Amino acid sequence: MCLVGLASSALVLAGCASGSDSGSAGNPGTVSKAGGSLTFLVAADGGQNYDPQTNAAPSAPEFMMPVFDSLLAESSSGQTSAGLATAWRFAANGRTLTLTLRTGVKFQDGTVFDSTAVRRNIERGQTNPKSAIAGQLAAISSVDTPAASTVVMHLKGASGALLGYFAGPAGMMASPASWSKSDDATHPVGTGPWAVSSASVPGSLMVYTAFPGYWNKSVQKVGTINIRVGSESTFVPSLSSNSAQAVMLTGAAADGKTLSSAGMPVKSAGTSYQHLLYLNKSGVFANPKIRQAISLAIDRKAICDSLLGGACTPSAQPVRPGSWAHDPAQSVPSQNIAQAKALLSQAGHPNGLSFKIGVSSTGVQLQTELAAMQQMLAKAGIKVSISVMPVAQLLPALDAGTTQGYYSVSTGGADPAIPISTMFAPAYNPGGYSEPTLTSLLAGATAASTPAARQEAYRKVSAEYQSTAFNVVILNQNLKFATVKNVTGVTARDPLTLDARGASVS
Amino acid sequence: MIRMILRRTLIAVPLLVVVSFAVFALTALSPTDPARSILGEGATPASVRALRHQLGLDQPILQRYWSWLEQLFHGSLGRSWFGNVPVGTKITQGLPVTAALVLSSLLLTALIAIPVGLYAGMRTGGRLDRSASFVAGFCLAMPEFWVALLLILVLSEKTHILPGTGATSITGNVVADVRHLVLPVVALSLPQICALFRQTRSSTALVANQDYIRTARAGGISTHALVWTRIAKNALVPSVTLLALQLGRMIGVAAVVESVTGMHGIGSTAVQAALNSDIPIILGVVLVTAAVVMAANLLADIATYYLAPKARQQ
Amino acid sequence: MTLQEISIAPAAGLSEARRVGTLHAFGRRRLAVAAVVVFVLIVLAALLAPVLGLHNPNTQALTDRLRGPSWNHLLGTDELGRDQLARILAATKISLWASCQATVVGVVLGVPIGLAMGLVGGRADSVISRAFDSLQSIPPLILAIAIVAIVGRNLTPAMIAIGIVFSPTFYRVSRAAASTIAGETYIEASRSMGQRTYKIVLAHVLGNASSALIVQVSTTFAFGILAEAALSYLGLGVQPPSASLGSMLTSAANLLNSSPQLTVEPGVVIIVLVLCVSLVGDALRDVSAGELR
Repeated sequence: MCLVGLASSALVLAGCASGSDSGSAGNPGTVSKAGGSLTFLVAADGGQNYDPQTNAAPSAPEFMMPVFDSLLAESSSGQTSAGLATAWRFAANGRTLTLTLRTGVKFQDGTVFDSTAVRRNIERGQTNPKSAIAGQLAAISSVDTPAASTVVMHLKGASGALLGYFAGPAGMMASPASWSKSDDATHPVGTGPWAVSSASVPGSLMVYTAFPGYWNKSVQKVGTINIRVGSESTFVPSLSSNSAQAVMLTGAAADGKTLSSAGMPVKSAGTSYQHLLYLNKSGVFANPKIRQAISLAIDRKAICDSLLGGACTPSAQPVRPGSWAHDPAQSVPSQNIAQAKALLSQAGHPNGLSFKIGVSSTGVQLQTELAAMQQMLAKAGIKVSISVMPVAQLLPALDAGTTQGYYSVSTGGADPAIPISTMFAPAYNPGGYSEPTLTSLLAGATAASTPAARQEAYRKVSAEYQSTAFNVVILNQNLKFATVKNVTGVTARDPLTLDARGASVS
Repeated sequence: MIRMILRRTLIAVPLLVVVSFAVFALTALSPTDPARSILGEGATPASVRALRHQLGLDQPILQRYWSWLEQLFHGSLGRSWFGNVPVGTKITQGLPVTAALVLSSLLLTALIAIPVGLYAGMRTGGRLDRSASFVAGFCLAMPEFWVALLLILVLSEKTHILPGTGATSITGNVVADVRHLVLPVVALSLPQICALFRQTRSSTALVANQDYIRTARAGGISTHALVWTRIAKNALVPSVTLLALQLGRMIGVAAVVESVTGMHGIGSTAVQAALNSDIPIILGVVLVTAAVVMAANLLADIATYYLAPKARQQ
Repeated sequence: MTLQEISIAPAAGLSEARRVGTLHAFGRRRLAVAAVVVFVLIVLAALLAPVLGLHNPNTQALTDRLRGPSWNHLLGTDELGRDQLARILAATKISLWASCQATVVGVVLGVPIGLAMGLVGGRADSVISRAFDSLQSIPPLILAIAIVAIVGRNLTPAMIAIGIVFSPTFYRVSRAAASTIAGETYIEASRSMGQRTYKIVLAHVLGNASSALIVQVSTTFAFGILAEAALSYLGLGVQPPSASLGSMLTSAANLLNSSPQLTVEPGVVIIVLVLCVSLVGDALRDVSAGELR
């Protein structure tokens, strides 16, 4: 008995010693040298790879937020604004894009941010076999660096979409010196306000401390950022007990009622969080009539009102309602079982069909919605079986044909071009299905360079996507985010990111 | 004594080898392709094949096991398939949390169950005995994770007395850590307290009724002295053995409690790994926990040895 | 009577007397009888649920979700408007069937080998015993999680894993019973008369071990219900669209604050089931312990 007691105290003490050694890490709301610490809570660890070029998972950008600045930024109306690049100009023939870089910017490891660094980032994004952004950078044939703060990109064709891509992960500039380090994926080095601290425990708690050499001190009001991974059921209790100070409310607590009744500010995020059904169009779903039948069999409004308490908007386009790329002229189809059955007969399936849909084992809300959709589809003669799988297996299963559908969320991107290009990428579009109208509209949209031209072009892509039911989008969840009372200035943006720039703890 | 310790430690090594090989052999049946899991979404068949070769997955299973053993001798448990993190790192990160949870639960269990069991066993049929036995029988049937959920509901969401999440990591701030540990520890301990209580009570009753005790009592030795000199030492032998068994059981159940309360211990690591079919982590966790249980059993045997001299003859 | 019959008859007579005595002693423990009655009622309700005129457990009614108990829905509705009572009965059936599977696996793996090793002894015995020891040094749930991780997440592999976890106990119990008998004189006598070993086993050993084994079966069954609940809660056991009591708690946990009844109801059923089985097991143990005096 005594031995057990001794052993236990020894082990607990040993545990304390080897745990986090940074005093303010994990300790909420304490004041440290640079002005307090802020803890964000997220549901997924982003795959423990925080390299923006190789990880396109929707949960990863939150972890990149403190570390990276992007070359450009974009407003919600599609206007490009300055980031690490202060000026951008397409040549008259559209075959060159010239960026003027901000001067005096350093990477968090002390190396200088200049045009060479930009060129090396672009080349890595194009040639790295694991790159998830190679498609976005494909239009760039070569990069010149005539001066330390000038980058000239030679393009294979007109590509206005690049302005959008550079507002997202393709524009996040990492220090080339960091790529050779073994922990590069979990400890990335960028030019952002907060650098990854050695006190981080990848997979459960990432700690970021203020980078003293940051170029924009006015937004760097908090000394330490903690991003903790916890399940959605712990979101509300954590905020209530102040073990976290900000969280994007996904999951069952999405209405934020408990928190706002406790006096905590709950704000609308205005972000994309589309629930959609990806379909493998290399088989029976190559026929648009069958896809449209699925779309018509589902009562989006019922799912929205009953299962999400109305905190969502039914949707059928690849971008969220309210986005500048969304075509307001197209109305969302309402449930029409008779029409769905008719379409199925026309497509040669008068007795309906059956197929399998995969869904993530951690997505309890999605599983519930899928179960409701299963019953709706059954009314139209479509028998769906649900296959719950770990995240890593979902896309390979869709690709291999084990499942024919994949119900998931799309979190948009800094620019609509990003999620749209993802949806046509091989991973989400096994078999490389294409449709001539959609392909040519997409090419036109990628080329367009002025905000007005881009808006018109992307709206056309969006409308065509809806009418052919390229994938079946169900709704956009109107996410809210909550902070504790003494924290102000946290902002929300796509994709599913809470930004601490400008936030302060009082 | 020393010989027993040496013998047990030496036997532990081949036992662990057997355990690890059994788990490794089962991986030959695994339906997941780890290369696919690592490379993730846009993997081309060519890159998958290349990674399989690089990881040695195209080799026969005995060869893979041998290289894994070699790796182990150099102090490495390999890297995880999902996230490519060193397994040893994940385990050392989670170990303090699970250790705090399990050891605190063990301590709480012993502190409550043993005194109450001793007292109830000395006065079988009395009020304490009857009420404690009734409660114990009832609480034994409760699933720990369900108890944790109800505690979260009552103590955290409705009343805000305790934080709703367990300790995600041991921060060294004792007050905060204890606050975060109370809920999971209580949930984990509840059924074990009942089981240990019943064991202690019945073995105490058994010893207390034996002839030599009755004789001693009749001879005028006070009850208090009796309890500590004879009854407790003999009655506690099965209790200590049970405690060691409970340690093993608790490590397993801790996995569920950690998942419910959002703690990042090796248990929840194992659950995540199971959901992702991440075999290297599972292998590492099995090995580490088996070694811990073997060590605990050894400690219990040593304690028994000192508690009950009569048992030495067996 | 032939020599054969003489040697078997005494054993048969003894077990006969023992069996009648057991039932009688059992009946005296009223709590255990009540437990059996409750358990049987629940099992019957679960098996007969489809014909009892209850709601269909799978029918959704999105406008009727998360309601509390009412005359129409005695235990309320869940997050998709399905009747809780019907769902709980369907889930109970699956949980009970799962625990049966685990117990059967434990018995099949542990008992025959245990009996054999108890009789034979020697090197094979010590090797096999060591193997089962090493199996027991892995924490039970961790072993089950590991097996499920490798073989696949589904109810049957999970239950086979739980059965493997329980087999060392069955092995030990049957081995102990067999080795006690092995030394007894009437076995020696039977052997010298030319009886084949396996007939001796069947006649004597099983009779002796049966009471201890029955107690162990009830304990294992109770733990099996708890273990299946834990694994299914984690998502490693039963997979949708089937639901067990444990997996019902997974979705209920997300609605803990707003609809706690969804968490309480399946948990109470688990507790009642485990309690009934444990009470029966306790009573059986007391009765068999009483016999041995």
